[in-house]
Amino acid sequence: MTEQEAPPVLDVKDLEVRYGKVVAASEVSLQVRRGEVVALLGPNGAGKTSVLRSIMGLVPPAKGSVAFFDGERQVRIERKRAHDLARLGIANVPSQHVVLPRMTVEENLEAGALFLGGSGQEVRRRVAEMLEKFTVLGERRRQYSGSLSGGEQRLLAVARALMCRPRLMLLDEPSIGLAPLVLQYVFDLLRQISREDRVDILMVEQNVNKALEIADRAYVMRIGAIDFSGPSNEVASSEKLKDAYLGS
Amino acid sequence: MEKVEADFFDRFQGFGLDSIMAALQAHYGGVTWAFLLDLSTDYGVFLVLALGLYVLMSAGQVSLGHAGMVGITSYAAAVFGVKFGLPFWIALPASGVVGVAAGILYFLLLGMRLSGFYLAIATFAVGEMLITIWLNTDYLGGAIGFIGIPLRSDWKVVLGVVLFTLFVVWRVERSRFGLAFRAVRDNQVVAGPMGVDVKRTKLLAWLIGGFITGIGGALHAYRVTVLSPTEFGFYFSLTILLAVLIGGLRTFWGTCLGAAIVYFVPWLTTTDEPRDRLMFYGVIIVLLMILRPQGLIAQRATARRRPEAG
Amino acid sequence: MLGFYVELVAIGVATGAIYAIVAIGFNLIFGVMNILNMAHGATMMVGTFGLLFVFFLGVENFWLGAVVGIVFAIITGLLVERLAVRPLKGNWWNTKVATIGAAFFLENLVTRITEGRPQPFPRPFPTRYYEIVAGIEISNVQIFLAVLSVGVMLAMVYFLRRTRLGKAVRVVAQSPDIAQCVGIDVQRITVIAFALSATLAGVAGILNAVTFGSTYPFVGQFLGLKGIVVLIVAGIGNMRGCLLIGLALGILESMSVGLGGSTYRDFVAYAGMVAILVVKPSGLFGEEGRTAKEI
Repeated sequence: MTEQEAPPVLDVKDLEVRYGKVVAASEVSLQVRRGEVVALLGPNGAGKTSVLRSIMGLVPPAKGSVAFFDGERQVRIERKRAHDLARLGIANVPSQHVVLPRMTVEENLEAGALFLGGSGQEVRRRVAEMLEKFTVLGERRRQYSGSLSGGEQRLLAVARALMCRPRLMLLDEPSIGLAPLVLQYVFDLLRQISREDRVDILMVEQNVNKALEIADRAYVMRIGAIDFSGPSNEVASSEKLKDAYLGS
Repeated sequence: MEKVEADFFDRFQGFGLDSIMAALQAHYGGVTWAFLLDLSTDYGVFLVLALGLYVLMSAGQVSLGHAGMVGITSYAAAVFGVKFGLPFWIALPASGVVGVAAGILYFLLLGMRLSGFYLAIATFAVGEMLITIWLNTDYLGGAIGFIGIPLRSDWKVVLGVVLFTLFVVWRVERSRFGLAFRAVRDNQVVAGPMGVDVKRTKLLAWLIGGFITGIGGALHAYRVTVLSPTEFGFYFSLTILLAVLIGGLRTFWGTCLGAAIVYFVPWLTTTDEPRDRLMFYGVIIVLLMILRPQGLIAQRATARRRPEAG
Repeated sequence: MLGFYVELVAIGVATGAIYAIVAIGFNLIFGVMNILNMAHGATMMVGTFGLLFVFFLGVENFWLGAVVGIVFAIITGLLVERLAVRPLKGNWWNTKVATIGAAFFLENLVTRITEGRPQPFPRPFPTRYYEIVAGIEISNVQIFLAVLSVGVMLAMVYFLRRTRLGKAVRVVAQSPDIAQCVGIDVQRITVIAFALSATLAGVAGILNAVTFGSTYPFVGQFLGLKGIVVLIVAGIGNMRGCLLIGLALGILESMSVGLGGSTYRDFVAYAGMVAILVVKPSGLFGEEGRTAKEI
């Protein structure tokens, strides 16, 4: 099976997410293919975070299916609990509580892989690798992550996510709270990860410009459903994008 | 060591509610109208005390040691009547004033600085400390208790005070203070910028709650005629708290209902064994928290919070 | 005269050690779930009655009884978690009240079963006194208690810092969200934390019963409250703090009893706690910013 014929890494079909009686999102279908960075955009209240949380396993969907392809098989994950996903190769980076504040940088990284089975030695090795790769973290390895700057914390969160050797990374608003320079750094990093580490990315983002800079494709949501989608350059120049955000 | 242990064992036997019930049952030997009247009068006293706590809690001032405040005002009323020789109808408002003073103290020491969890624990601790103080204060009768208080709280008096209290609470709740209370309770951080003076609101809650507890304490003292330090312990605090919680914090009628449930329902169980009643309370508390934590008369506005929309 | 003080201190260490173990048990649950398990005391009490039950059946072996007692405690802890904690989804106020209800129920249940009188409690080995310096004696029981409590604390610190499971507990305590993201089953860890806490409760309860030579259904209230005091003063999340403050409290109390008479004993504890709450709510050793969540 060539990469072209393989099923998409993430295949979401007709997802519906409810909170009690309120429908946050419905009939949402999207895909992430191998080698892609995909952005899920939309104004506040559009339902994009709900969709992501449902994919992340934090909220079971009312309807629909989510399938993940790990390279060999396709697995239905919509009913799986959040903590099972890491083992499958899906890494989550939530928007809040980005790091474990009362643990050191090292311990945070360790946590990324420690609970997935595998020997302590293997985990330590990976931690060492990660610290080398991200010199900023390496310099602060013994520092309590609560005292890191916003950008450093975001970096740590991404590095931690990489610790589980994921195939797919899910990011919830990675730009939140970051100053412009740091923002650029983080997003460049994400692009680099997707290319070099062959990690596919699905991110929910408020910062449309930055997201479209690094995304290959984008979906735009509006009031609980997908409004339109397409390659990022098309989406960026589309009139519909403005409409979705400003309302019409 | 043994003596101290026995004290603590006694303390948990000193469940004020329980001994009143037992005494009543012994006295009347069965359920008669007179008995029900008597029981209702007791309920009235309990209700006033519970309303005092209700006012506090409606402003978010959680008190796990309310019995301590009750004790302060009960002892005050007893001292006014027995030691100072004041007539009941002076002692009653006087202990209301004492209640206000106590409220101010509680506010300054605790209410002003602490919230939620810590306030609850701190009020509990103060309650226990008070018991120790009373046990060691011979002027107040020490461990033997304050005896000789005349019985003045008959059903007419209690009814009058209850109506008065209900009126006061009703007026407060409907006034802008009531709104302020709610705002502070729901979210202190937001209430400030909204124009609510958080400190003053809390103080007010303690003042009013203190006053009500004050007159309730007087009723209590002049009803049971004997005050023992250990009766104002955690269990008593807990029953009052339970009354307020069962009723919910939306309206003071909730507390009336809750107090009634706490007071009367155990009588529906046919057992004479007071321990069974307490076990029953335990189960009720757990079920209540699971099924209906907002209380029976709940706020409509409290929906389960949705995660941030995105 | 010196001997008198040393003895007071020794008694203080013995009781303080127990307070410390109780506090560590609270700390575990509080750390993981940000709730205060008010049924911890009742769990301790159940542990003691478990041992008595074994004796009641005719088997007069302390250690076997202790194991059974601890098992009883663990079962109680797990039941409390399942019935009074889990359904409440971490709301600290509701859970606090619900666990109070559970404690109420347990204490009165045991009272019904056992008629409520204090029950004499066996000792693991006959008490022997050792003279350390001229005229000053301490008992083997006190030594046992001191060693055990330090051991428990060290074991707990080791567990949390160096084992995989312990680290999982810490991760959950800091962020259940991240815990899930890295593959930790938060529910499972919570249950494990409860079981562990209940084990400590059982141990503390039995040690307490050994110290006083008896137990009764409400012993948990009194001991549990002391544990809470220690926890608040020491600050949440710090195991070593629990040990230090627990010992300090025990010694302080024993001093005030020895010098001032027994009735002011608890006053010290509560006054100290209120003082700390007013001045530094996160506790003496608490991690900065780690205070109990408001609702």
